[in-house]
Amino acid sequence: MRDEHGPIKPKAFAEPWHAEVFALSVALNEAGAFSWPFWAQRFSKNLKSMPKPDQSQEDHYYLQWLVTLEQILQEAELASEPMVSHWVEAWRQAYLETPHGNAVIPIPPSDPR
Amino acid sequence: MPHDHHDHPHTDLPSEPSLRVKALESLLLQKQLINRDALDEIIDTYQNKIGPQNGAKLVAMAWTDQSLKQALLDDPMPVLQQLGFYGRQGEHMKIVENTDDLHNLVVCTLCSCYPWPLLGIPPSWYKSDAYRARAVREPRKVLSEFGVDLPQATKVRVWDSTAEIRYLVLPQRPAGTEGWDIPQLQKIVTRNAMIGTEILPPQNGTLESGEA
Repeated sequence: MRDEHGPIKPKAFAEPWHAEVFALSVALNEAGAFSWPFWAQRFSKNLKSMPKPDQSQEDHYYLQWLVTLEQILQEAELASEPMVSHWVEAWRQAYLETPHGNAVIPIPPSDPR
Repeated sequence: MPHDHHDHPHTDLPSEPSLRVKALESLLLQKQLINRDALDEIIDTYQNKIGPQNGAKLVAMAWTDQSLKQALLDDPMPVLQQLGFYGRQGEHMKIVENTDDLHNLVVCTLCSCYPWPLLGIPPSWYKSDAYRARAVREPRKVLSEFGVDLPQATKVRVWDSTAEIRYLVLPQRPAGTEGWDIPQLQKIVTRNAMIGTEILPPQNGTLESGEA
């Protein structure tokens, strides 16, 4: 449980997506989508799940963070599961079809509503 | 392609959670619930601007100014706002002072509530299930695993952070720092000391710059 004592300015995020999901949540909180006490309560429940054996502590923590955000947004009808899935596929396609070194830009899925 | 062993010309596919975050982000941007500038500002702030150096400066200031220290212990918010150590997740702070008789330790048993404006993003161990579960139950044992072995006479007080209130430990000023100024002092204040999992070691009296 102990870590380095050293640098006064340690690296804040281990992976870019950790920073991205953190920023999304903070931005949504500031935009009034949910309160922070509400967030903390929901996040706390999800954090009780145990990490998988091959999962780092940080990955588990931010995966639960992401799951919490997905649940809250779905319940608030701000991001439905089908729309999120369409966007996941759009991003996956974009990565698979973009030549290495080029900017990856997904094609927005059409809204099924 | 230097990284490539088999012959695929496309960009490497990010992890599944990473794709899910990108998906949420795209959807919310499309719906204009958030904007790109706000996201960039948040990441830049916590990646590059805010960290334990803020708390360290505050501690150094408190060590050198008795009335500032008293104000921080009594009612820190006006002082923190004035000094610019105010913002998200630091709206309600309490500063707790370590003494010979009392050692303070901060945890968040709920999730990972932490004073962002003063310490930035919490370290891995602070977010771990083990620390969160054990800090309240067996604080002396946890402290000893961090290398902090307190005399039996020293009381330990554990502060459980919440989404509403956050804590910062004011560590004891180590011996051998008499006459040091704020920039010198703030260099020796560590993040862990401000959470309570470290006691700052005595300094040997010679400054890093080589001055006597």
